[in-house]
Amino acid sequence: MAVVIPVTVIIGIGTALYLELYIKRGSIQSIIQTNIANLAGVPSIVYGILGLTVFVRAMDFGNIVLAGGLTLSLLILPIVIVAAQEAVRSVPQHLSEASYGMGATKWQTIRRIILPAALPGILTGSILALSRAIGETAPLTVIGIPALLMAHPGGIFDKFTALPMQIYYWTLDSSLVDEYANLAAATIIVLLLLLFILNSVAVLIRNKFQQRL
Amino acid sequence: MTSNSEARKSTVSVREMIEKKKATKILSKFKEKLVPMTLFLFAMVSILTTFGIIYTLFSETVEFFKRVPITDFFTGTVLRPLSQNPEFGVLPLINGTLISSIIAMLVAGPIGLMAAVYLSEYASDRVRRVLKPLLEILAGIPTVVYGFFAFTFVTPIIRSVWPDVDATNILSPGIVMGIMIIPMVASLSEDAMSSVPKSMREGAFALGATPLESTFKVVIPAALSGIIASFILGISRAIGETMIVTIASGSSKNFTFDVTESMQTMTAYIVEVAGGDAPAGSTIYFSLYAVAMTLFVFTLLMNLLARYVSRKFREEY
Repeated sequence: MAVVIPVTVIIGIGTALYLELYIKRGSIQSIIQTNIANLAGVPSIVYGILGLTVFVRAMDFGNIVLAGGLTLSLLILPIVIVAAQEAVRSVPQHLSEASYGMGATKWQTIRRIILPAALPGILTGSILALSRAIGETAPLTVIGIPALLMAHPGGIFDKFTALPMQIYYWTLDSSLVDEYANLAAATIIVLLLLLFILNSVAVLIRNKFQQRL
Repeated sequence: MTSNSEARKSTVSVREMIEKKKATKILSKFKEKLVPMTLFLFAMVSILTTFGIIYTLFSETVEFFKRVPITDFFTGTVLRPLSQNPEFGVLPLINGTLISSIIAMLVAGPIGLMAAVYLSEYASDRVRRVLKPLLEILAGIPTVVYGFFAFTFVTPIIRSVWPDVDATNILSPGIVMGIMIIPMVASLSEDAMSSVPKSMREGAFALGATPLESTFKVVIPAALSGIIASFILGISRAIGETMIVTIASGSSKNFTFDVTESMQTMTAYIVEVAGGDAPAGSTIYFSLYAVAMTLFVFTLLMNLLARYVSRKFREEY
């Protein structure tokens, strides 16, 4: 997650700002927009294959956390971009016009006026996307986190593995060892609790700042 | 005396301010040019992702088709990647994928549509405010949790009613996948229905229609493009769904239409091959990409179709 948050938030906000404020309306804009919409519909396992090919094999990352994090970042990037775009678009026009009227440059306006005003929306969208990344399993199974677990079949909670991966393995093996089903259930509770907390934070932020503008 | 020194101080600071202002002006001009370029680079990441996906899938798939003829791949009904003389027919996987998606839509279609009708036409504001977040929670549950649910809860129930069902079968993940898609179908259909203007419903009421008649003869036909689009997106989601079928449907590559048996979907095959030790460069390793390519094309077509339907057949009011 330490990889996912900075990568997605920075690239996501950057793309959203570019698409909303800088790009000229026209074919390039619609190409990028269609492209993002299609990316959002690509099955997560295909991202897993991309991660396996590019990050794990081609770039030869020994570091599995980095490869996994980058793959998950690409996966949730479209969600963050769309959320950030909506947030930027919902900033009232007169705020930025007032800022230009005061002689501010475009970047000054974006940094001091638009970004602070759009921040709650961006945060909410990012947190929701993050909770999607936390629960995602399929790309991780493809990337090869399993190999790490094969070395510890007893289910030692390794630093480099993820909650959903544990659930997956324990569920698969629950026909072999009875306790594994219980273990999986317990892990699910932990995972759901985590997601519930994240989503509540997102909803709280949304409710708290909704009336402001 | 004091006012004099203050005045001198202020002249100095004004001069400094001018100098400073000049310096920042150059800096900010530089920034104004730099920022759009940086942001453009960020925007390119998403384009690069698409090209990355298409390039990796395509290049490795071409390599696969050099070893296995393309006609064998798409018409073969036998998939035996691990045997002595392996056969790579993708039809069992496509079959499994379609059957599980059809089961899912049989569950999610009617329930999702009815939920949408209730939310948009009948529910009071208070009920809606409770139900919508609940649907969102359902949509946020990780798929691996649904897989666990299918394997340890739904399958035993089905087997207690219908003992012929195998421990891993396609029926139970299909049903659970349907449950997973309900929120998506419901909320997209509800959006389509709420955007039907109130005047049309009132017109129907004025002609003496009951609420039920107005819903099924006026609102649903008017919102049909959005509803169909939500169904197509639901199918596309079901086709790309991985964890539920991997966990609950097993890995036997049967080519059958019997829902009580274990089948493998395209996604589950990818997980099996990638999770096992397929050495890079072997035919089975390349088959991974061919299957992924098929999957990618399927979902892409579905998504484009959904966009087309909702654009083309949208009725403007």
